[in-house]
Amino acid sequence: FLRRKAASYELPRCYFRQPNEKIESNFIHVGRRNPFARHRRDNHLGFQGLLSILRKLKSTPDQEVRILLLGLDNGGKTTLLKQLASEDISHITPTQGFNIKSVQSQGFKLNVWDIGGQRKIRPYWRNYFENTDVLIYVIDSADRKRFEETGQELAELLDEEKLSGVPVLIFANKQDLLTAAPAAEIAEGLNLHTIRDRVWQIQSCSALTGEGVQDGMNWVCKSVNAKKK
Amino acid sequence: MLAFIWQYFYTSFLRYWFKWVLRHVTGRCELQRICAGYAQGAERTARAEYSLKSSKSELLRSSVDVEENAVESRVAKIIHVKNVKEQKDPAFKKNLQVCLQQITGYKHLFVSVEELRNDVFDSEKEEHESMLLKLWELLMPSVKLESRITKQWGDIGFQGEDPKTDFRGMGMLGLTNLVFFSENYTEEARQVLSHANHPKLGYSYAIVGINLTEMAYSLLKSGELKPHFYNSVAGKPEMKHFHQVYCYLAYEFDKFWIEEEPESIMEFNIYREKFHDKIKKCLLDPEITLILTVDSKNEPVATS
Repeated sequence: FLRRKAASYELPRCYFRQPNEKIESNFIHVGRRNPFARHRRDNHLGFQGLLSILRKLKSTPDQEVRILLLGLDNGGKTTLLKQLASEDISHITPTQGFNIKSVQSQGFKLNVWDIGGQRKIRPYWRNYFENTDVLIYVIDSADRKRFEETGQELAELLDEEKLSGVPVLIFANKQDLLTAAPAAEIAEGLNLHTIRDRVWQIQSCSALTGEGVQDGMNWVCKSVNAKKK
Repeated sequence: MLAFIWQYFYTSFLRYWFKWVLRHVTGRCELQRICAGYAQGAERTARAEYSLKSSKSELLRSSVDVEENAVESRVAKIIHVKNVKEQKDPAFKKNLQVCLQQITGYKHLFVSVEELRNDVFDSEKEEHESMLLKLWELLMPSVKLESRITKQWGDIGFQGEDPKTDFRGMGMLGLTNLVFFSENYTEEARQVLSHANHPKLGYSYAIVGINLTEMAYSLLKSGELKPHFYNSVAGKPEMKHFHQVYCYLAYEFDKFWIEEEPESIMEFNIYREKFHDKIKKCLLDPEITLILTVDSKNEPVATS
């Protein structure tokens, strides 16, 4: 009986509150004390918003960086790519074709293209040269038998017209292996000091453990910045 | 949001009330109803697995993880705990046993597959080396390998002069799959190899095979292969059943690749993804089995 009485008391109150407009305006007032201030702020936001959109439109193309990851097969390109993207590196398979990943780093959107290194598909490398901002060349520092082959491929890349002036980072990879040659030795063997037409850097690293990878990428971002200025 | 609340409400209360009502109306427990209501296969086993996993009883929940030789005694314990009258439902014991063998067998299969994958190809091991040479002989019976390190490996789709670096993250699992396909489906394997060596539509046979091993492995790991194994093996799945899934993928991928006519080998990963999605979609069908069957026209077909 009591409950029914309470209900009949509640009903008319609810009825008064019904009209939708009122409830809506109540909601808007919550959290915004002065409705006029709200208007002012909106105008302000509109102008600023437009400016920031314009600025973004202008600056977005500058922030995308196209990075080409090349090197012989079994150099560690895919492992490096996955390491950059913080992905699992425990079941990598040989790359047939290519992989691409986008990584955010230091205000850049790095679009990294990892192209298979097998001899059979090296002729396709040139299809990916256009608009490259930085070339990363990966070397298996422990595979001394193929230093000559890797040197030749690198020399051919540096002669490519479409890659002229493109900064090149050479990763002396697999430094976690005992038999790995030190970066200095590789630099000498590849005659890197004769490169005059572009900035270059050799960085020892282990794509497996991640050591040295970030240092290399810092150089990449630095050289992109320098190029853009 | 509503669906979420419903889900929560259903799994934590409603399901038990339904089960309790049904139990008293039919006089049979949920596992009995599942075994009687569905034919042997993925539907029955998947439902039994869900029922066991969401049970309130510790004994039932842990049943999905028992060792192979403990399955029988575990079934007896479940029958006792659930107070099942065996004479009233004589088929139940055997049916539940098969379900449990399938559920636990799947997990054990993954453990063995993982072990084989972690076994890195090692040239020092004679067993590994002889397996690699066997692969050559099976695929190229008329050509003699000039030496162990040779460019000839490229003819069966390895990247360089020494295949050992190509096994990488798949280890001996990749090689074992390649050999199993060539040994048990020799005709088909050579046919696929001849397609792979096509001057325009070609691809690297062995490398693609290792990539497909990775696909089979990840499907197994995620549990997506459960319907296939529950439908095709009435009991504990063995390693050879996993190799057979690989054979199916290798054969079907080749067909898919030729049908799609990609522009070049550089498109491989795009078509690999497409194929992966296609297989995943197939696996949603509760009656699926991914079995390579060769009919009279020498044309394997997927039965589903």
